[in-house]
Amino acid sequence: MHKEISQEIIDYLKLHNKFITSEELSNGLNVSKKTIARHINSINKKYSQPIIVSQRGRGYELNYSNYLNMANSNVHNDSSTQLRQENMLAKLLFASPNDVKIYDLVNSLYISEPVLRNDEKQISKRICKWNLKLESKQRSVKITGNEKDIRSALMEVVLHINKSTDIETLRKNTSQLDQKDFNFALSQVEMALRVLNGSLPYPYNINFFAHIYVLLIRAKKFKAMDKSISLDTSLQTEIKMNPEIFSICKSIVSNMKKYLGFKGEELDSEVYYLFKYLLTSRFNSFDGIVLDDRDLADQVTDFFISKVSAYLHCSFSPSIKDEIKNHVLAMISRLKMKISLPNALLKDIKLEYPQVFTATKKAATLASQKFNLPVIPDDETGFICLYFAKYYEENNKSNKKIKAYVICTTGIGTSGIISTKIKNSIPEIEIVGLASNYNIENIIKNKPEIELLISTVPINYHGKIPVELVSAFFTKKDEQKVRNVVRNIINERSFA
Amino acid sequence: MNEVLLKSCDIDVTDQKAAFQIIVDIVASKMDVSKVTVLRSLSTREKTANTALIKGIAIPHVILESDFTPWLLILKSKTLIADWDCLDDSKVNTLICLVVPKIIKKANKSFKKIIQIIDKLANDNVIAEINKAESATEIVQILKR
Repeated sequence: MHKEISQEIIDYLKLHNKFITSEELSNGLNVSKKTIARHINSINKKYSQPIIVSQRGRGYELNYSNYLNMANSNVHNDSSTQLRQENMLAKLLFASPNDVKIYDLVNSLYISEPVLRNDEKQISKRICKWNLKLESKQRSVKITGNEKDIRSALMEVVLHINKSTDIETLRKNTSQLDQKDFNFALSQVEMALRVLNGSLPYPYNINFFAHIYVLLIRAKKFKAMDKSISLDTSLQTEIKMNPEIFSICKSIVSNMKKYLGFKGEELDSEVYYLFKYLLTSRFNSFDGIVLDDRDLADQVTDFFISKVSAYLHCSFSPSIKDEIKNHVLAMISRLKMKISLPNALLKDIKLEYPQVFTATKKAATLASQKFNLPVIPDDETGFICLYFAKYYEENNKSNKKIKAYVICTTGIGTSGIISTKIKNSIPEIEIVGLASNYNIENIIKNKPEIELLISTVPINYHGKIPVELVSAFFTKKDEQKVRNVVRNIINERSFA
Repeated sequence: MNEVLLKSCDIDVTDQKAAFQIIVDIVASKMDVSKVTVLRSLSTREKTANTALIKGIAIPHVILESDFTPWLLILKSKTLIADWDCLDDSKVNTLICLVVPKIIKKANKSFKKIIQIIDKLANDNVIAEINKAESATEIVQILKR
C-alpha cells in the first residue's frame, strides 16, 4: 500500500509533466523538503545520467529521455507499467465521452505507439467490469459508456479507492490544482454528518466523499447523470420517509452549483443519486432510515451464519447476528440499487483469513441463489467475512489461553483485586473464576479444564494442578513468578 | 443501598491489636455475634496471610457463619500503626474491613455491588486517592463513585 518514496517522487513528476517546486512535492507526498532532496539525490546517484534535474526557482523536473533509458534497461518494470496504464485510464475517463488524441497520450506518458496500443488492450480488458468500451482510432482513443458506470470507474481508479482506507490518504493522489475541489467535497461530507448527527464508518465515509468529488469533476465538464431518475416512484416513497437525508442532498447539490457558478437546473437530478447513495450507507446514530427489506435481511443473515458455522465447524456467539444483520440490510439495498462498494481491504482479507473468506464466499453464492438476489461481489463478501473472522479469531485465541482460578479466603476479597491486575498484565491467562479456598476441591472436580491456581493465601491442595502463591496486591515479583509458570505450562502443552 | 454497605469510623491507634479491638466492637454489635467470634475470625485471616496492601491500606476480613449481605467497615487512623507493614514497607493507617458470610452468593445483586467496590482497589488511581484522604467518610465517598 505504501510505495517507496523514491518511486512516488518519480511518479508525481511523471504525472505532472512540468517543473514541480520542492514545496509542492513536499505537500503532495506528505514528507519534508529535506526528505525529498535526499531521495532525489540518491535516485540520481544510482544512474550514470541524472533522472531528475533541478533548477533554481523552478523546482524539479523529470528528464524523460534519461528516465526512459533507465526504465527500458529494467526488463520488467511492472509497477511503472501499471501506474502508466492507470494514468491513461484516468485521462480517458475524465475526458469521456470525448476522445483523447494519441499524440497527447504518447507525449505526456512518454511511450511509443506500440506500447500505447498494448496499454489500450489491457485497459480495454479492465474496463469490462464497468461495462465500458474503449474505442481506438488511428489518431484518438476514447472510452464510452453510461455516466453511472463512468463515475464508478472514476471513483475506483482515480482516487485509488481500492488502496486507501482514509480520506487524507486520497489527498496525496490529487494534484495541488485539484485541492480546492477536494476540500469542497470534504466540506460537504462534514456538513452532512454534522446535520444528520451521525457518523459514517469506513467504507461508507470514503465512498460518500468520492461520490461527491467525482460528481463535482464531471459536473465541471457538464456531464450529468440520467435525469429520468426523478420519476422513479419507489424512490419518491423513500424520499417521503427520509426527508432529512433528502434535504441534505439538496443542500449539497445547491452548494455545488454555487461553487461552480451554475445557474440552471442541470445538476438537479444529481440530488436523487446522492440520496440513493446515502440511504444505503449505514448511519450509526440516525434512526430515520426505513428500508423495506428487514425481514429478508434477517433471513439472509441467519442463512450466512448457519452456513459459515457449518463450513468452519465453529459456532458463533448469538451477538454476531446483530452486528451482521445491519450490514446485510445495507448490502441488499446496494445490490438492488446496483451501487458498488469497493473494499480496500479485500486483498488483505483474502490473505489473512483464507478459510473464513472461502466459507463466506460459498455461503454468499448460495444466498444469492436462494433469495433471488444479484450476484454478491467479492468486495461485499469481504466485509461480511470480517465479522466472522473477528469471532473466529477470538474463539481460537480463547482455546489457547491458560484457564486459571484465583483463590483467596472469601472468593471476593483479594482474589477480586488481583484478578483485574492479572488480566491486564498477563493476557495469556483466562480467569475462569474466583473462589474461596474452602471450595477448591469442588471446583477442580467440576472444572477439569483448569490448568493453574493463583492464590493469595496458602491452600491445602495436593494435586497435579500448579499452584502459585502471590501477595494480596500482585506485585511485579508476583507477576514475574506467574509468567514463568505460564511459560512452563505452555511449553508442556506443546509436548503433550 | 450504598449507605448500608459502607460504614466509616475515624480512629487513632498505634498498634494492630487496638485497631482490631475497635473492629470487633463495631461488628459484634452490628451483627449480633460475640466479640470472641469476630476477633477469632479477624486474627485467623490475618495469620493465614497479611492483608496489608500498599500505601498504608489493609483489607482485614471478618468471615461469619450466618447468611447476610456483605458490607465494608472503613477505618482511618490519625497515627500510623507501628507494628503493621504493607508490601511497600509503608505503615498501615487505613483499614477497609470486609464483613462477609462464609458462603458467597456471587449472583446476588448486593453481593455484586460489594464486589464492584472491592475491585476498585485494583485501580492505582483509586489507591492514590484513598491514600490522600483525610477521613474515613472521605474514603467512603471515593469508593462510592
